[in-house]
Amino acid sequence: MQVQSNKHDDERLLIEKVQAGDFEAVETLYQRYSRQAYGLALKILNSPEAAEDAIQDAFLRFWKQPASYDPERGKFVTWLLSVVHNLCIDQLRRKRHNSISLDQEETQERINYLADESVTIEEEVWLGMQRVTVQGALSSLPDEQRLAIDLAFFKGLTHQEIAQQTGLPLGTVKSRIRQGLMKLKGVMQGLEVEPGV
Amino acid sequence: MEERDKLQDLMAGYALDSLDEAERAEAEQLIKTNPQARKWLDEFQFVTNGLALSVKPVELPAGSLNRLRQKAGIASPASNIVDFKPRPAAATRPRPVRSFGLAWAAALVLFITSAVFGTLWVNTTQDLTQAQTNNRNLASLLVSPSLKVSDLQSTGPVTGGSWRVYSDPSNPKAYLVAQNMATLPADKEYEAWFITADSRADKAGLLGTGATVGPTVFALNSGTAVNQYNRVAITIEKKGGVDKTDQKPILLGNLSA
Repeated sequence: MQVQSNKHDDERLLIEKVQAGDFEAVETLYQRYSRQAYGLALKILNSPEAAEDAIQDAFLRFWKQPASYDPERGKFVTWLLSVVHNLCIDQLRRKRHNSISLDQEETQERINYLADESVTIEEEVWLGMQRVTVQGALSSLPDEQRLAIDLAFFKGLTHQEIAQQTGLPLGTVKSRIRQGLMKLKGVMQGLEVEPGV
Repeated sequence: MEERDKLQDLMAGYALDSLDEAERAEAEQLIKTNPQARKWLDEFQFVTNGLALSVKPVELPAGSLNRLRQKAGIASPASNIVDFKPRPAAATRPRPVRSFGLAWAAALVLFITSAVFGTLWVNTTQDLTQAQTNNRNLASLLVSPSLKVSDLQSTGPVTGGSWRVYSDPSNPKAYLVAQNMATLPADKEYEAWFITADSRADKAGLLGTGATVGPTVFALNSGTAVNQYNRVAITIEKKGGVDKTDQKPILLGNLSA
């Protein structure tokens, strides 16, 4: 309990410092969460430069408008990743290239290692736990449901675009996404994933 | 299609941001007026938040923090926080950087392995199921009101890495989180021991050869309540471990801390 409390207290203090105009606190949060955000942005955008720009835009938005994050609504990292996701999808939709394939993203994967001692073990363990758990939940989905969710979440395709790309009826796409998310919800809640807490 | 399915489709699409403009407008109206729609949206957003966390973190390019400062109009470093280290080529990586160097070498090997076999790698001694179990059990332990945390200290020449034990006197298992463990020769293995007040060492678990990247969670278990022990120790033993050790511990920690 002490560890969790300290972690949350520390993060709350950092948020307050940002609100008070302390850029050093932004730097600390950047050190702590930018790798996770960069991994997400890189997976969506498939471009190191664009991914770095996207996560920096997210941090700068927080720096300029710290009230946009409400600690009562969940963890900072969850909020940050949703901002990064939105920025990346917006960018992807503006610059959509039809040549993106699912295989390309795999080549972008790089092994992460901890070279930064400002990242706490607890935070890394927490993030690692979420990652392994959600990956496990995703792997439990039928391929067609996982693909539909992947195309929507990581490729920024609309239901209609997924239907066009896969040749499936629109209703089938919608039901696959719905059923997939419902299954993920059941598995993640059963495994006590807490992305929003 | 049932009305409920249609509502769920809309909220699922809204959570994924995959609706067209007309559907989005319809969804936003429902979110304002229909509590069930709001409930479904919250539940689907719970899942999409999890999807964002499912992606592996990736090391940023060198100088990233400085570029952030420049964009923010911060002329000079606002703190003494060290910027992200570049990803050095293996051949030019400076020595001695015992833990990171070894971790990087291990990462390279593992990257190649996973690329070739397409398997999700967890570590060399734990399969995915065991790792998930340990992670979940550690997560439960972390919220225990009687949680005790012990950082293991090196007893001799520098060992490298970070070693922290989480225990609860009421729980028969403790959990060790190790990161950047120095990699041992293939015929050696780390072994954990619980130490009693009269210095008896009871086996607590094998920890592998240390070829891990990032933090790894190990369960420590002697079959007896943790509160029977005062300390935890790590030794280097032959592969497969030993029943009784005559090795000097390389790391020691106080369980009553």
